Amino acid sequence: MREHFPFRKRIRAERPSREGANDPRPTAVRGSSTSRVSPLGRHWTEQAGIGWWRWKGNGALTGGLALFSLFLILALSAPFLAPYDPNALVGAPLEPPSRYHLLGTNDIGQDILSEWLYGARLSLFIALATGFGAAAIGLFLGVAAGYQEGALDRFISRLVDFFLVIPDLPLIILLAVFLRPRITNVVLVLIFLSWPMGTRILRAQTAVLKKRPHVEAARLFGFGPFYLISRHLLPELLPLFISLVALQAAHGLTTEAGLAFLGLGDPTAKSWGMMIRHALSYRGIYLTRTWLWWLLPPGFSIALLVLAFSLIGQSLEKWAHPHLRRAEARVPRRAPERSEAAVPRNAPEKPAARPLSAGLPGETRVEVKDLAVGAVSTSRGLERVVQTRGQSAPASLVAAPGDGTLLRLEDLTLYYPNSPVPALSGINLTLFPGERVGIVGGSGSGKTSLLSSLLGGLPAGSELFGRIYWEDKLLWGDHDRGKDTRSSPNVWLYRSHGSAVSAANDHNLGISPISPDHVHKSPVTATGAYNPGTSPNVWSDSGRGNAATATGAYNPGTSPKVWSDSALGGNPHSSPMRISPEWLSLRWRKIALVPQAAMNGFNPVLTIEAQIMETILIHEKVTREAARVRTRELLAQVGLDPRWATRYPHQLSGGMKQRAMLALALCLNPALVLLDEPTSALDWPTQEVILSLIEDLQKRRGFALLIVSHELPVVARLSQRLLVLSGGKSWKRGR
Amino acid sequence: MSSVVFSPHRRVLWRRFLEYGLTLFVVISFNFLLPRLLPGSPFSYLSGEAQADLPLPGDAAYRAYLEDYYGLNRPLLQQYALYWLNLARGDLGLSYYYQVPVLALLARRIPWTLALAVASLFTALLLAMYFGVQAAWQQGHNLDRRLLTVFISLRTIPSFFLGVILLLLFGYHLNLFPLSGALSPGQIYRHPWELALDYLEHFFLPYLTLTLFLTPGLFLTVRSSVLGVLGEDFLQVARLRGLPEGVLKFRYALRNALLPVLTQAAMRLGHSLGGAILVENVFSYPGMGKLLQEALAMRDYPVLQGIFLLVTVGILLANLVMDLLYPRLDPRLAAQ
Repeated sequence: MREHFPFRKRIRAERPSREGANDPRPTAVRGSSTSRVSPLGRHWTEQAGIGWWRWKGNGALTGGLALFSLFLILALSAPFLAPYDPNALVGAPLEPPSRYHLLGTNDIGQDILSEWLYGARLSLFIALATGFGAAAIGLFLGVAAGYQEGALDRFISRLVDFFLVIPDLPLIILLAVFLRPRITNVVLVLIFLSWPMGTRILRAQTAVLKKRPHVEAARLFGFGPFYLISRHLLPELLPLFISLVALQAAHGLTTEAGLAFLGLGDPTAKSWGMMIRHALSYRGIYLTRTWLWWLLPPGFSIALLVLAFSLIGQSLEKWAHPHLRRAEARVPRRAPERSEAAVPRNAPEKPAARPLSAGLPGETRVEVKDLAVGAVSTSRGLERVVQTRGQSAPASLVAAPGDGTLLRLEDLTLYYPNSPVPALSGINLTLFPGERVGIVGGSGSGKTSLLSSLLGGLPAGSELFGRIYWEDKLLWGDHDRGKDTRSSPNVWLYRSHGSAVSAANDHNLGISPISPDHVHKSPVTATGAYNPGTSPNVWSDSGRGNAATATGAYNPGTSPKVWSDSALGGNPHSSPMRISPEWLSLRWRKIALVPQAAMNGFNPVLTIEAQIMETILIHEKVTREAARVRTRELLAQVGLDPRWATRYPHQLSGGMKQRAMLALALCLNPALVLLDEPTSALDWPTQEVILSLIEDLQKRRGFALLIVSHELPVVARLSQRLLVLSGGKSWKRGR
Repeated sequence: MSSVVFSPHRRVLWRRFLEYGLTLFVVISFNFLLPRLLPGSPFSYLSGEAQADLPLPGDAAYRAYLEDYYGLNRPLLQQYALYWLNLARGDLGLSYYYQVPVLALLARRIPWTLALAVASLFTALLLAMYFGVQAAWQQGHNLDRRLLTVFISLRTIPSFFLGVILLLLFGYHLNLFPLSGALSPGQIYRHPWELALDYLEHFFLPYLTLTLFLTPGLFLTVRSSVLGVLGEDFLQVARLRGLPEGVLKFRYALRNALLPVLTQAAMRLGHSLGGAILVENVFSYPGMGKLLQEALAMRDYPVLQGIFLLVTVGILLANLVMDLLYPRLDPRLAAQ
């Protein structure tokens, strides 16, 4: 074993850098895992995730540290750098800058540069002493409160609340005035007023860390609090502690300057604050140009040092709080370069270039299990399509422009920003007015992505390929490519024949012997076909052959129109993809959505009525009264008592919210309603009620429905046609 | 429904009320104890003996008179009770320097400070909300980065130094604004609007300084609070509903992000008054901050303590008002 030791040691020494460079996990996670891997022989800084690799790319921290080091070096070497004794009278009063006095002299003839250099020592001392003092008290009390909980915690927390609400500057002044003006007293007063914030932050973090599995496990092993705190908590609190030192130091620096300005500083210790006071108390400071070299250097030095401390503090705070880092990481700092040549990077050549059944490394989400299409199809209409697919598809079977489709998707492929895996791949769908189509798929199969695409509600930077037609008008994509696609043998496109098919489907679905149990037990991701007529295997994972034909939809040789937003980066929630005005004008007026998040789909601070009315008023030129009347009517139609109209969303039950969402979706009388998991958040009886309500409303108003759900019975019940979306990748089946 | 006594928010409110009461109690007690706890008799502070350079009648008879007057020769507990009794009657003591009741002195100065602090805080809040939403909306983009740079740099400058710079630039070098005071001395106003103009001219620079001092912190709060709301479902649904950007930004994102911001603003009132103390002194604006400075120079302890007490009460009141406002801002907090 001994022989192996040096080897092991070397591996350990190398490891952090590699880990740090590639590991996207938050520090805390990484820290805990490294401490688990080798609890000994690892320096605490590594455990805490503070290593040189963390500085890379962190300009703020580097800048802050550089600035701070500069001031520190200047301050420490003041005796060597300062040309004169700062207290000696070495020149005439108020000399302008010259060779002998680089920053001139003050009103009694002291050299200002020397004053400034020695002032840096004092100001830095005050700042750091305050920072360390306050953070140390914060660490002690915060860890005690966070670790101990109970009465001690409550007491400390109350105390912190108390101090945080008291106005600090008047209190500091009051204390400073009763104490003698000595620099130690100033520091003590500053610490006294600064500890609560640190205590609060460290307490919260301790409480979080204490609940981490590895700490809990160590406690269960019988390690005492001292071990746990020193071994597990302190190392992880370290970045936060240093961040607090820096932030409190910044606070101390400005407050000391304020006290000095008011005349509460130590008159014998000339910090930068006291220099400013001295300069300002000279009457003529405003009238000549003296202020340029007397007043500005200490003032801006304070600002710069505060900046350095803030930069250090804030960058370290981000390390310490993984959620802050994650929020930042979600947003790329710089948009990836995208030239014309670079565009095809994500273009659908990619799916074709590899065998579809293979899957990419790391592409676990996408399952490519394809069906032998002919074998599972029962519907006559579909069979015909499938049979003809072997040859080239006759044009008559493809929904051609001008035959009255409501919505047509061709080759729709979607890549989310910075994602190598398509969320949708080669989707084709035709929808006629008044038709009800269901889409089933497991989690992550791209159902919601599809609906978002239809509404143009994708985040900026998404890439959407293919074509979208609305009432035979092209909304998205390139016209010419359409022809190519339809003549391609790979196209998987079929069309149901109106009422005949829908009647048959209704019948079939009506008697379908599926128990909800069965559906839930079957893994939804094991893609298969829903096939009530022929086989008891409701979900069948039927073979892997025929991948290319089943997924189809990709058309090599054509380069589809690529959408990409020039304004990349930014928050994905606030910068949506840009869409054409025609498409925008369809939103909610023609295509409305009952979102999956019906529970959270309403603005919590506005009433239900206000939100429906707002939607009507923005889209239509009607009076408020008319909008109100229509809102009340709609609410009555969805079975919501009008007295709920003026309530806030949180006051409604889940079923009520779903009804209200329906009313909101129908308020502009759309031609197509998208239902995203309409019942998944509801209990069984409520589901029933909502489903029959939707059925009823559809019959009365005649809008087309596109229902998306992972629950087969829900979709089956509402739809005339059923399609399976698998692993975000492709359409599998129709009925 | 809202008249149910023990609704959740009411209970929170009562607890808050109790906490504020307790805070006030502690602050008043602290105020009482401070001069008595520190080295030397409180009398030596009250009489200014600690600062020997101040001109003082030092004879024993006068000292005895003072001790008797302030009740310092009585037991501590009795003094404490007396202190409370005096407070209840609105007696904050007598200013040593001005020889007038502290309360009367403060009453003359408060309006100036209050106008300054409230106007600045309000403007800062509006600016912070507007820019904060815009920055959060464009997180990572140029606008966001520019705003962050501007506000973070602004935040590093101490308030009084900012005031000095503005005074140098706009007062002395550009000669746009008067240099000090709140009204031109000895001026006779023929019309009310002349008075108003004179007031506003003097008001502007302190107001600008304080606003610039307060905006950055609030801006950062608004920005991060709005960022927290951006991922919410209702915002995405609202966008799909075709609501215009402006409505999304302000009625949806900002409205829902407002709570932490206004809590911060109420807590910042103390900060704001602290800033006002310094800024008033830069511009010799005759508010409480200037009074505090004058009292400091004269070691007029009763005045200092009175200011501290009053500022604390003001901040507690502001926090209480915020607590009462919460249910209006977020109906989820209202009585169920």
